[in-house]
Amino acid sequence: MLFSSITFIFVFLPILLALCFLTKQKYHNIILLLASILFYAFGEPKYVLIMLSIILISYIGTLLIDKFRSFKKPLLILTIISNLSFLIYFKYFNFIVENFNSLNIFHIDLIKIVMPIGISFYTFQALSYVLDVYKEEVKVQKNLYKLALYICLFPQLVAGPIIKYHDIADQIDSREIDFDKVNIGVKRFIIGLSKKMLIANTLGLVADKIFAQSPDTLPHLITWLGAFSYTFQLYFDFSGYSDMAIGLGLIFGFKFMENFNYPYISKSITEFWRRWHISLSTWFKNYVYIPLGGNKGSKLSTIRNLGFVFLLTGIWHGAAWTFIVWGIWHGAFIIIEKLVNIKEIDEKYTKIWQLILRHIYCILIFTIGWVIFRSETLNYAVNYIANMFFILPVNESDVVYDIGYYVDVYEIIMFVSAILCSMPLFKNILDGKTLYKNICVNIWLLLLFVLSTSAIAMNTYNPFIYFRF
Amino acid sequence: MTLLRNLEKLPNMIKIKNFFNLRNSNNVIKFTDRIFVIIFLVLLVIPVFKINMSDKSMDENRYLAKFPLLYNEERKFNSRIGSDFNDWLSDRFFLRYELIKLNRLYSCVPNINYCLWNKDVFDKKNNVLGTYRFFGLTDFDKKKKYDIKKPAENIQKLNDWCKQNNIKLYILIVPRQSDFIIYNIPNRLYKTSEDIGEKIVKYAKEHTDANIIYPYEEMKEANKTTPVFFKTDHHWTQTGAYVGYKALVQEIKKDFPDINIVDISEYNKSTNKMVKIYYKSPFNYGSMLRNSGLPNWYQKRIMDTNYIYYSTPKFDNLNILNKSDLPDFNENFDCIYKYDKGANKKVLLIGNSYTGNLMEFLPFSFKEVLSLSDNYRKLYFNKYEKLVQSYKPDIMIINIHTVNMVIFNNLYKKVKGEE
Repeated sequence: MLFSSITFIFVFLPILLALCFLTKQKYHNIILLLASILFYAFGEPKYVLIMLSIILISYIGTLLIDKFRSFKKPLLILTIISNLSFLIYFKYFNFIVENFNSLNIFHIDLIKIVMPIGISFYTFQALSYVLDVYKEEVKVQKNLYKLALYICLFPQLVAGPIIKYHDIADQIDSREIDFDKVNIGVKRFIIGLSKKMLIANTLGLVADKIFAQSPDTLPHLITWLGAFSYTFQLYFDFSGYSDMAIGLGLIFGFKFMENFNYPYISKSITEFWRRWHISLSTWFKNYVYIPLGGNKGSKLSTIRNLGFVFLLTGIWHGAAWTFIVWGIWHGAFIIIEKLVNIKEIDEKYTKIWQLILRHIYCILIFTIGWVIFRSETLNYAVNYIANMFFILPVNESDVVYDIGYYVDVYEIIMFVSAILCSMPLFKNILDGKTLYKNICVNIWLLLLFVLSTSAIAMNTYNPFIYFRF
Repeated sequence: MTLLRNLEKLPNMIKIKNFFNLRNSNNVIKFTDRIFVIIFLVLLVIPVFKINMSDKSMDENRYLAKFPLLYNEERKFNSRIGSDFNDWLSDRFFLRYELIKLNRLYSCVPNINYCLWNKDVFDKKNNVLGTYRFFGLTDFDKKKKYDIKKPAENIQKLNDWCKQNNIKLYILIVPRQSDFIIYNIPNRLYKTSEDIGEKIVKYAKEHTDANIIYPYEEMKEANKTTPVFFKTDHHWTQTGAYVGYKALVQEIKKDFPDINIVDISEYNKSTNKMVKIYYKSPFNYGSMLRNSGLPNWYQKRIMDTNYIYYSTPKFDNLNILNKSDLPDFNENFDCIYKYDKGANKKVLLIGNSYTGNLMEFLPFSFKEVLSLSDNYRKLYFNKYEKLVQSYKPDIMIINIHTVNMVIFNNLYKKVKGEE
């Protein structure tokens, strides 16, 4: 089930809200657990077993780690391997086999595998719990259903944020549904839904049209249009989903960490990664970077650790070379910034024109990164980027569409909205300090909800020119 | 304040802490927030308030999704029950069409010149709608290689078979609407390269001896004075159909000189801004406008062109046998038209929806016309062979659109269950 589906918004959510708003607090955990399992099973009933297996493995593994502390390392390794094996099989098996086959040593047949939705997220959540128990940062959860609730809580199940167990352990046991949270939660949900349905989907169509064509048939400016469209699509889609997840969490009494903090205002890639997909970057920092030594060792070991983390970040995003190269691309600039001492640059170069230049540098790097991320193949990415920088020649006669095919006034309005909403101009919009502001914001949010719902309805519209009776 | 105090005394049904607690310096703001949350909760239940239980959607020309069953026909658990339920609800929730129209409106109104949705285009300046299928290229993916020889080979094979059975074959092909209507959209906004269908037509004309009638130039000429295509529908107007009819019958006359071409001046003319593609169908806004999802009041605004409609008193002299008269005749049977004053020839016509307006004229040239209506996406001649042999027409006409020329690829495909 998706948050932006008719069933979720108009059936699942109202029923769940009624159950939680009209029952005592002590029943909420079990209600939410059953709802979360139903939420996941709704789209993929058989893959619920995988999620439940990961929960069970994590539960048993941590109980054993807690009980047999002298064997905790091998038990940890066994638990991690068991959990990761699902992820590796469903997400990476065919990718590994394809690349192995390309070496022409011997041939392995590919298997038709459908990746269970959200597996990357809930696997990492499970690993977070296992590692926290191993490091004795949290007590082992002896109550299976509470652990299950943590791993499969539906607001963050399919697209994050990746919640670390130690951030939420207390909330499972002691939280309450408070009106202020419900109020902010509803507003966050609407904001997230609008980001996704109105901005991301609109700009996504622009990007799709452009990326559907061969780079050598695109005018240079159109390639930039495609790059920026995708840049905004990805941010508003992902951050929109995170807003919905955080909003839903608040409604039910949970406070999740923020996942995005206006990443596109960053002036360095280092800063970018403090603002983009924060839950993932902190996960890698806590469970990979720091255990490897972080920046405590030599410069070379720091570079190695950073490189490894970003390689894993790329791999986590998908089973394709484009994702891996994207991870390496960011890793390379993180390393470069480390070497040139970005902290010093942040403190030293603060004049307006310097800030603007630094900001342009950062925009260029992450935008090019997104082109790599979006491309079907590395070859496409290289040609596309070459076109962006006027290196790839384009014959006028090969150009198929003019700019009017991609954008018109409505798309421009969405573009401008995207630019404005990428900045912290409306950061405090929900503080409701004045009555006038409060009323205007509430009316605007209700209107956005209706407009977003109309966009969802539009997605259900499937007319045929000829009768299909 | 008394009301608020009373509210707090209500039984503690709602387990939201502080829901009724307005004792604060910002109690008015908190009150507006409560109104906001209540309105949101009400909005959440409105779409399931009333479910559309119809089987069909006339707006979308299709059946609506059915309510999913837990077990399928083979008594196996329906693992898709979740997504099937979503499909069912997505097709039927309350205010669905109103929301669709709202979305179309706000995504369309700001645009100055054009609205592009899915692969359709709305030219706002000229009030013209077009659908990608009839523009040519995008139905034929650039990356795909389309065989233009196979359709021609099959056409030749069909022609040879007709000759063996003493039947003259004529193929009437309707050109692309976009060449006639959407001429104001700048190059490279929507039109792309040459239509593959046109390539097949050209190749077939050069490499077969079949009679292929492609009245492109004639329709271009006629279009200078009167629209030959509808602006909001992909079909040709009666004017366009007459031009096609005339070109067809002129070709037939070369083999059958006794056949008359009906004179358009004998027809009564009327005009109407609405669309009609068949004498049996009612006037409407047009298929593409109906599919557009735009609100009705906006659709009315777009209908700004007067189309000419023809009628003749001779129509009363036509003896028409419909499907209801011959229910077991053939699954694709449409009508048999009998006209005493027509040339003494039997015609078998296999067509699609473009045949509709053609039938204002064609039946008056022949004694008998048997009209079969096939699927626009496929034409398997195997299923017609026996019928044609038993009917023994003098003339067989296939009437399709240039976009459908690729169906000749599978003209002789063996279909399961058919000989």
